[in-house]
Amino acid sequence: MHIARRTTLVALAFVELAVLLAAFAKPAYGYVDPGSGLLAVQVGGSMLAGALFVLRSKIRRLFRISSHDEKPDSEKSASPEASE
Amino acid sequence: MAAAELTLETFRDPAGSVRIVGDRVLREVRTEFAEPALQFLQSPTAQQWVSDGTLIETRFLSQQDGACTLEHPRVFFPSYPWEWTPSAWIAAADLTLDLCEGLLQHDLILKDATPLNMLFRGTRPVLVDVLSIERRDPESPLWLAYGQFVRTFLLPLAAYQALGWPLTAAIQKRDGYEPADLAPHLSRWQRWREPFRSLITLPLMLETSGKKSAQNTKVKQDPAAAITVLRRNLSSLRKHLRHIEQALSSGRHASRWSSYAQSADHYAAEDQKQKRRFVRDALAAAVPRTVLDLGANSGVYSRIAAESGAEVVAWDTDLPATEQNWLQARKGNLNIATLIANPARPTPAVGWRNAESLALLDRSRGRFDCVMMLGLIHHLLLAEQIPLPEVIALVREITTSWAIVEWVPARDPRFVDLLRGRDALYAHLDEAAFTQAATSHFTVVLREALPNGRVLFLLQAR
Repeated sequence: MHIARRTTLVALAFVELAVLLAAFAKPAYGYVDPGSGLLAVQVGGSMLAGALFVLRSKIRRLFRISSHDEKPDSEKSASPEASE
Repeated sequence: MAAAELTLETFRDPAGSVRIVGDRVLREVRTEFAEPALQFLQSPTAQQWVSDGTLIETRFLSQQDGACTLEHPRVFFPSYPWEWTPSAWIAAADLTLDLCEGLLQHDLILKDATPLNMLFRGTRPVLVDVLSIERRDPESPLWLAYGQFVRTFLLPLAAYQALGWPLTAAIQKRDGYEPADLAPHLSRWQRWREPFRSLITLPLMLETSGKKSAQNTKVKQDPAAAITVLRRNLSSLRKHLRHIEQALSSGRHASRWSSYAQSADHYAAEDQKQKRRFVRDALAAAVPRTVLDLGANSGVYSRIAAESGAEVVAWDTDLPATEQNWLQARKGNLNIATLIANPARPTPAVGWRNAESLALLDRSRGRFDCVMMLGLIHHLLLAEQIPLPEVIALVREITTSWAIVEWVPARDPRFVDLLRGRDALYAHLDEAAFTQAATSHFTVVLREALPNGRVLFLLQAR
């Protein structure tokens, strides 16, 4: 029983290693666009930064709306928008 | 000697080509591709950049059938990245990013980013490729020249800093280094440290086929987000540049030549003083507008010439000494362009048909009113083994009028060092031989012997 478990674990380790090797396998250099890596870094960074930008604007808007909502009635009536 | 009639044509940009004919720089432009650049050149920002000296002046000559001709002034002495010191590379990289950032507010961008788009006036870079300016897609957060900037600016500088790969190798690498060129030479530790992590390791892990990467360029974002992200991308490049610059300045090493002027034991303080006075007097007599300082070392005499009002080009083979010359000139705002260059092995012409960049001597012939050759002649004669009449003939080809030359006698310790026991072979090299060779092309106007035995000459071309 114990030996069977060990064998399974070793087999699983080999499978894991094979999966990792496949994941990091490099295609033959001739089929790779050498400029694509730098572009991918820029695209990845840009998408992340873009998402953060959108998230930040949404949070800011949310806070602006909530702080607007929290204004006391007396303050609301003093502001020109409120009096219109 | 009359200035050489130069012809040079660059044509890699389908939007236009440049021809240099004599002193005229003419740019033919296909209007359909260059309309944003042409409009921008007439804007107040462009005018400001021209007056700041960061963008080349442009004059519209003619327009017909979808093409137009522009004329630029010729930069006095063009130099190429393979002749620049690291600080000059950094200044050119900084200006590329500055201009790109400045263009964003006009919804424009630089479509390429290579040191070949820059020339130097003294130590100030100037963007000469005006067709590099194009309209940007307001929804794109990407700078398509990002990769080119990394390949042609950051990786050569990083390879020089971390691996000692010479920047002169840029002569064979028009499009710079790929991340894969450097990766095998970096230790695991270096690979995961910045700037290599972002410039080499991650890009290598993310390389894909050309088809996929073409799709990647079509990333779209809200315009407000896109411009913010694009600015962030440019500032990340600037951060990498600062990182490399910092590493370079902390590891800036001296060479046996970089402290030569201070440590030359064959020169007593009085000799130095007298030599400087002679050079000042000679320059005052010659009043040259343009001076070539051959073997300039760290630029003591280049600065004297620049302070006398001349536009100076300084060549030396030693990088740390030339870097010092560049830094001092930049600090003092002196008109000195420094080049890593060797008159005995001049930079060749390169590019398509050997005609895209000019050979060093083709840029030099007849371009200077005065050539200074101080403390160099014994190196040319004994180390480079160039015959004396050849040395004088080269000086005569380069100068239109004057030469300031220091003769180094056979008993001088540096002459003896370089002689390396070949006394009999070079026994004919004495002042009489020098004067005979010099007077075949020049007249001796001034002669002054220093107490250490060296002799200074002001020569006027016949």
